[in-house]
Amino acid sequence: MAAPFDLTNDGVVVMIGSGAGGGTLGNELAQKGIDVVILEAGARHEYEDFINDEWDSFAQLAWTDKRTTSGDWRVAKDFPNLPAWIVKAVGGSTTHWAGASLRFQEHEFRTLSTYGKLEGANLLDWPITLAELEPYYAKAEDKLGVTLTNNIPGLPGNNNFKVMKAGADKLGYKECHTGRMAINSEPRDDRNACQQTGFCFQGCKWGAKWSTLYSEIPKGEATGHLEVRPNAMAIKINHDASGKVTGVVYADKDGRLQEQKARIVAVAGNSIESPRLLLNSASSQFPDGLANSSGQVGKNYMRHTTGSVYGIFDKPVHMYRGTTMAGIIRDEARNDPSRGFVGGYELETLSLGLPFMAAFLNPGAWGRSFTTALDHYDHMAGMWIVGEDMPREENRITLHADLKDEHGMAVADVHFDDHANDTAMRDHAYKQGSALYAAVGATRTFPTPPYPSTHNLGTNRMSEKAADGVVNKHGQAHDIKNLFVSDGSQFTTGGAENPTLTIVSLAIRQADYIAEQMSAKSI
Amino acid sequence: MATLIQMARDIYPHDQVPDKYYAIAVKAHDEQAGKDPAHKDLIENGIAELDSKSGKGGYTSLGWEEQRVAVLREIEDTPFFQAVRGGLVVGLYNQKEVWPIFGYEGESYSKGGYMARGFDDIEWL
Repeated sequence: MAAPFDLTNDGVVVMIGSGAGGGTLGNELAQKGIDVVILEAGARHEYEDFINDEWDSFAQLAWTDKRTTSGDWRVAKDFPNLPAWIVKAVGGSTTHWAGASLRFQEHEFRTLSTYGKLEGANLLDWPITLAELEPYYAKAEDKLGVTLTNNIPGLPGNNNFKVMKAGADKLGYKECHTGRMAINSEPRDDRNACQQTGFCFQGCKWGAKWSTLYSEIPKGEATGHLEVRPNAMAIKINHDASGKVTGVVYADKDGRLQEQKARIVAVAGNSIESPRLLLNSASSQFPDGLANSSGQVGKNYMRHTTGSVYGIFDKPVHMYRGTTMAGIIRDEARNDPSRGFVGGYELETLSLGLPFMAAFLNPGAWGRSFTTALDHYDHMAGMWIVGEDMPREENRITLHADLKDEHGMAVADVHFDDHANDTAMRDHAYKQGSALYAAVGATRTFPTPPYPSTHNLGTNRMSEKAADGVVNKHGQAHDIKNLFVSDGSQFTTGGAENPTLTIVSLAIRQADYIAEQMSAKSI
Repeated sequence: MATLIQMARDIYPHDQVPDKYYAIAVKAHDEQAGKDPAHKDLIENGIAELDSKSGKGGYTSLGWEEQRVAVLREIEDTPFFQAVRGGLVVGLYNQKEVWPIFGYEGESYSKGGYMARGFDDIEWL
């Protein structure tokens, strides 16, 4: 039974955000008997309500509140008010994610030690190691039902994957398969098996893909210890004279300000909203924002080095049929500086429907060079590049000086410039992707620029020392012991892997830590 | 309207797509112009400029697409051009009736997805 908690209940743990971080942490705590209120800015749509239509679904799920952009990234020119393609709904971006569930590599927790100091990059080793996280990765893989783990069969490969696999074989790549996906290849954990419908980005109408919306949250609600409160937009975190946080001010569904009292607050609003909230919570005691004695809140914004390669063939592909992210090549994910950059990248199949292909293939382009590409839409195959980008202090989330949202809260500005390492990696990936398709007979290929960011990371990073980051190895603020960060903004560096599995693993680990600290009465 | 339709086709030329879909795509500008005088000015002045840059017969009298495209290149940074182009991205390509022309099948959940409908039917590899 979902438990409604009173606004004045100061014994609850409040999560801000119900996605991979907040939704998982909420359920984990509820399972331990701890009372939880999850404030979610968006509405609750059950999976039957999802829409197999790109623009209609975007209107239903996407976070479209105004944001601004700056920097040399092309998104700032083409989509100046849409830096990120993420979700405002219960379940957060786990409604929209493609399901790729990869563990970080060992060296990706030690980037400063491995790559050395890089000009213009704010590299730092994580305060945790792969070995420390491995038991939690194992729990997360079981929770999500990741294919090719826990004796779960892989998904069958669709047409888009078959083109990728044929090209991978031609190029001599060794590690190409249908991925480690949090999409059921057979019914499991009350979730259906994938029906190869496509539209993974639009929310899975079968509930075959793991999402906190229909996995973690209902389980938490069933304990009687968890309430998710939709349409509750957090504005400010309050604190007392001792510097401990005491509650969260939010705008309710009618735009009225409320305050939910709290024993502990965990921020999990994704890497733009989480620092925005901490910065907006500045007070006379914390004039630069909460948890910001290091000055690192909002900095080191990472978005993965992305891009896509689409290829046109003389015969049909129908890439949009079936799982959107239907396969992966991992051979380039290694760190091999002989390629001209540090870190590595994954190549994963991707498809867009015709409406989004028109919007994102080459934004702003027109004329026959562009339209003849779309003319062969059903002969196209596609892949996405996801690689490690360099953290830079200059890449950051700030509060806009003038623009406010409907609640009077300053909107977020997202500044991003590519590091030279990012550009070198992307160019390498474009070349490999194009060569792969050419090897299977592509007559034309397209190095497609990055979309608005789906992987937003690093803006409240973990660090060993309080001077270097915002939170410690448990995601606990260095400055405020009952304030936690539970989303991808705590990532010290981004790795080459899709971030969700790591966010979930950290949330499971954080739940154990919070429960211990609560029973020890230290928070 | 004829000029706007021709312009739309020259921006996103698809020879297999009939005029009516371009007409539907630019109709929104007519409707918006009816409600918003500033938008009316933007469109009317934009078309007038396009015609004047095209010589005495106007834009639609230019016989070759490349002649018309050369005129469009001159104005491609103007708010008028960007309003027309930007509107087409959704206005043209989000028409469900257009999708089959490109081989896009749209919604698939109600048909049970592609599990039994060719998600892996590629044969030429």
